[in-house]
Amino acid sequence: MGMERIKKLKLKNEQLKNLPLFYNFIIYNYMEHGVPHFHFNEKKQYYINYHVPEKFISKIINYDED
Amino acid sequence: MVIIFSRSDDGSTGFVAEWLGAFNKEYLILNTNDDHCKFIYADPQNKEIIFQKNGKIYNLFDAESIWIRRTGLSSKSIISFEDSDDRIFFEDTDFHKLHIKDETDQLIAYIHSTLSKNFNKVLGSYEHGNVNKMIVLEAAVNCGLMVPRSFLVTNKQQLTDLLYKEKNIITKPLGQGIYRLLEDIGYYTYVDEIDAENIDRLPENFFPSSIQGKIEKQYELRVFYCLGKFYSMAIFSQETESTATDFRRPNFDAPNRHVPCLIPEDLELRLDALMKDLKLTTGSIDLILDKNGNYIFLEVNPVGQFSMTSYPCNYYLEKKIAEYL
Repeated sequence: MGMERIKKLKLKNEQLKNLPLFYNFIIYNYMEHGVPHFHFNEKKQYYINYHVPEKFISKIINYDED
Repeated sequence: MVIIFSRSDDGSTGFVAEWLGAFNKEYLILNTNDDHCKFIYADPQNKEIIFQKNGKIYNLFDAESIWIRRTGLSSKSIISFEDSDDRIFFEDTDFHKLHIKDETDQLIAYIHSTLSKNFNKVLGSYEHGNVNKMIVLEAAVNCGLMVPRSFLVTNKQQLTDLLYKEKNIITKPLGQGIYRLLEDIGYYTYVDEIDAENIDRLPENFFPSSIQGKIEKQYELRVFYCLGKFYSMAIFSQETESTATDFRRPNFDAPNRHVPCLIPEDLELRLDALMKDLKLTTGSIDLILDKNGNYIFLEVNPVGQFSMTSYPCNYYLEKKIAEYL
């Protein structure tokens, strides 16, 4: 974990001709430790941003098993 | 009732709404990027601007206060283009879509304008919410603030000359940077030094670009300004190589220290004058304390994420905003 999660966006020279210089400095990541999910709460009428935790804090209990 | 103009991906909106709920204040959130709210009717002389949300009718004039966090309205709350709407004129452009987009923008501007004039409690501004960094820097100088030297360049030679003259340079957007979150990937602009190697790889000519002389810093400051009050946070970004030029490239294994702090009173007076000049009631101000002990003003973001200041510093900004509204 660390900086390797973030990558620099590479653009072609042809594309850069029509772009301002700050387009040379765009990073991206795949949100590997949890894609943010914006869940609309009907009752409260606002979005809640859920993140999947990086570490599981408990195992899934399968109640079908005795 | 409190009206909040926002976006669905703005985390601060939900936190403020939580506090409004705790204070038993009714609120209506209109988001730029969803279609939950639809414009129905307006009769401004009779104080009626009617929207429908989830089958319920709201007159926006019934509100007591407004928080303009984002535009809150878009074509999604007005119309929806269908495939059959393609090219109604005999030409190869989407002229009518651009024209209707302009008409939509006029309607949105009018709704914001007339509501903002009608209420005493208005936090944020539609009209002044989108700032131009170059214009802001000029205004900052007029308010007695120190700013980085700034230039606009269009080719490699100009950039090479500036690198020789300024020694260290960076580039920034004139308006907003890239902040785009898709389903599984996020794109972000960051600030980094432009060196001779960078310049070598560039095309001969490029889109007009903003360049600034880089300031060597002791630390960065993020100051949240709200209705004349300052809530400041020092960011010790120099302690980590990856954040030395821009703290938005964090090292997750060694995060920067974010510490509440006070800024000098004369600096507050100058920043207050700037915010009033820009007609901003709220905003996140970026400053640098340079190696010579000077506070250098970098930019103000009227819609910056203030929770990043609120939580590490225990400022309870979300609660303060809800109390004001």
